[in-house]
Amino acid sequence: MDYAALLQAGLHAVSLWPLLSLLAGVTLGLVVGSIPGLNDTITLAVLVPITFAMPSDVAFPLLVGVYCAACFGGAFPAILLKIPGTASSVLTALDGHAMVRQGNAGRALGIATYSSTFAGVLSALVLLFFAPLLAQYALKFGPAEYFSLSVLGLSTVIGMGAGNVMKSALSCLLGLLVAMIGMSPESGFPRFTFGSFWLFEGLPLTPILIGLFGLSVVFEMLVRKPDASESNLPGRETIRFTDMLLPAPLVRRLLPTWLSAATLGNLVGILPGAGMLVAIYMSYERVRRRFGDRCGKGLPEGIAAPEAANNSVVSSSMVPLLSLGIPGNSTSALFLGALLIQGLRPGPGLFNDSPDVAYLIVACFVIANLMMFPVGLLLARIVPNLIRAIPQPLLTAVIAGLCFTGAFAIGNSVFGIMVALAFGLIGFGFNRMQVPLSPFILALVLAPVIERAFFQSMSLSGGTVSYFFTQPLSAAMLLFTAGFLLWPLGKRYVLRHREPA
Amino acid sequence: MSVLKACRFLALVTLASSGVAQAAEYPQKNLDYIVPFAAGGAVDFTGRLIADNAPEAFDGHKFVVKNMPGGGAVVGQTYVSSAPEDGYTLLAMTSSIINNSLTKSVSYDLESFTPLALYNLDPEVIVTGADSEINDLQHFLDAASEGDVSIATPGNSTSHHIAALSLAQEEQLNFRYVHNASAAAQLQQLMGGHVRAGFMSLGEAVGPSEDGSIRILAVMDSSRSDLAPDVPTYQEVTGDDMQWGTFRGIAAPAGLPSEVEAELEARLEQLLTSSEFAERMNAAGYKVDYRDGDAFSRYLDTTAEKMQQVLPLLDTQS
Repeated sequence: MDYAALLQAGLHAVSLWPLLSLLAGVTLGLVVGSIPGLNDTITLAVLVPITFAMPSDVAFPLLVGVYCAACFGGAFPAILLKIPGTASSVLTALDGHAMVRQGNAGRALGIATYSSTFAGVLSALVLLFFAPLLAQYALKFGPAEYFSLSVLGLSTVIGMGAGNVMKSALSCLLGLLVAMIGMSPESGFPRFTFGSFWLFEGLPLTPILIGLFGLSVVFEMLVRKPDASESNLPGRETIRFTDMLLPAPLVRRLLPTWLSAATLGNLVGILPGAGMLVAIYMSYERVRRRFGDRCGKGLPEGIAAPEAANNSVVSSSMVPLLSLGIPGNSTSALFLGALLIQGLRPGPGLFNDSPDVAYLIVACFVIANLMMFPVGLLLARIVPNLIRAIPQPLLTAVIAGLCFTGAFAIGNSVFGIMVALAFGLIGFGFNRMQVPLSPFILALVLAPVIERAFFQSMSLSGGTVSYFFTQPLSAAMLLFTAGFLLWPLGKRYVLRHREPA
Repeated sequence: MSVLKACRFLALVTLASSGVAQAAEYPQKNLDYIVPFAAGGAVDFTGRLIADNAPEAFDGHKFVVKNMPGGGAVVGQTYVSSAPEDGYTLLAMTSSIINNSLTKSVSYDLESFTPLALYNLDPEVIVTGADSEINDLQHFLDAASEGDVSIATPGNSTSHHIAALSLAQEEQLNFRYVHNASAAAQLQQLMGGHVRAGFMSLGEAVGPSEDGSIRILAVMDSSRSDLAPDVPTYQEVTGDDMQWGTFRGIAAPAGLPSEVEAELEARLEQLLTSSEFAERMNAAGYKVDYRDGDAFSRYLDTTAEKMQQVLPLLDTQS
């Protein structure tokens, strides 16, 4: 490691223009992240071609800022309105919004800000020091490992439904079913498309999310009487800065959760494709295992785990890009474009050939995450008061308008709005019957990964299923899955036999 | 989220969609540039480079890039095929338009479009991981004829899958296909040694091969490429002519008024052959290979013919 270059890049990053463009990026990222339907990918797609005209020390801080902050921005509507701004804040909504209902909006936003910042900075440091090592480990993941990891991820849904396993399983199965719509990854055969090309690639994920989480809340607001005590809005009290600053005992209490979530984020999050959601769900599952029924009722750890995990994934998704030249997701694919535009090629040679820019990017990740802290707290102070200032009928209309705009913008078509409306009704029904939505989302995202990895493994092994067990890493993950699934049964058995004594 | 930001966003949306009144002279307003894929891919990326350079060649009018993904590009292609024939809607046209019109029940075919310009050709290459024991094309062909080669593709029925099928048929090879959802996943499997070989575009392979993480065995083109001068063509090694590749071009709906078509072609030529555009494309690793509308049309017809011979393979061998 070239410490001189690193120091130089670090000092460069805190000079005027890089710092200003980083601030602009973080603010922009928070805004787009908090609007359902807008996300980091679409924002970067618009920004990247423009960066050609910028010097690299303005271009990269801007892009890094947007990328880091968009993920955190999703937590704001998730916590305040129970509408996740991005897929990565689906679980944040559970405990976050419960806490708001208890009148602790400031505390909830504070925990999200602390968790995001802590894990984000930690992972940026991991990116700085261990990127090549982690990249080599990511390469070891072949089809069998992807299959087993995704199955392991899916097994975490068992506990999502506040203890109601049947409802979680139902939600998960429905998600798997919806995921079957579209072309088979193996044979190219169109499934459940009814001859319509709109369904050929499956239902688009973003409009589904907008419907399930955004429009379902709108419907809920429509049927509820305006004076009902059960409101989705934050309470009447004004949020003060002191509410958001966490007392030292709470920080100490959350520290283990942050560390374990950030570790999961760094290990699982660097895997392209399934990594992000699996890391988030697995870290939440750890919390649920520890606190049982207290989850989903405003537990601080329930906000800390997913928020720490998702922000650590943001930095770690850059690992394969910077050290191997393989973009881990569609957003880092845009980073690849931005690097190329500046005449740089990511890969093993990047840190040697152009250490100034390479270290600048990593330094920006550290600083962007630090910057999220004051900017986040500032927004946390302003946004809830703004939301409160709007009369509820108007707020309902604004949310509906944003949902429709987002659903349309993603594919520039009315089809997105139809999908969002349909899933809005489904989400409304789920909420009424108290069926959890998060297993549905996880199944929807993981089903294609599982299916593809299964067929890939079959093709490589000549059709022998034992292939999943002869690969050590894959076998270990399947064993864990079995443990996860059998754990509740085992616990119940032990408890029942202990009682009579 | 705040009302202020919401309003600002809505204002932006309205601004972007408000058009200017029609008039006799072309161009009078901004053009829609339809990318039938999600944001982030090569077509989207090069399309946005074009859009960024467009105002100079179009009297200050902009190209508004709109992503219309879905149906394997069918959604965006259908939209443009039925758009008004006024020259204000353009399509980022790729090889998928040929597969789609041949294999899926769509409402358009090649005749539904006016090809205006081709700006990029990317030949197909055969690659292996850098540590692979397969170190040249002959070795690859020998191993594949014994049915012992797993091939990573970026997806079922992509042009790279079809290239592999076509080669397999021609040379009586037997591949084990490992279909991925993206070129990135394909690259990861090659570098991790999970598969023995892969088919991809030269443009995607040059970078990793310079890093020493993959090896390019052969390029399926009539001559070697400047981007990888050490890589032999398929014909050099085997004596058989084997050409395959993907293309990126621009088209409008069929039935444009002839003066609009001429105007569009001339202005696109000015844009795509400008040194500034070439410089930006090169910086990003793409070579500009300009052809005018007629040449593009001929190229499309030959490619369609080739595809038609190979497509029956998709149903039986996938």
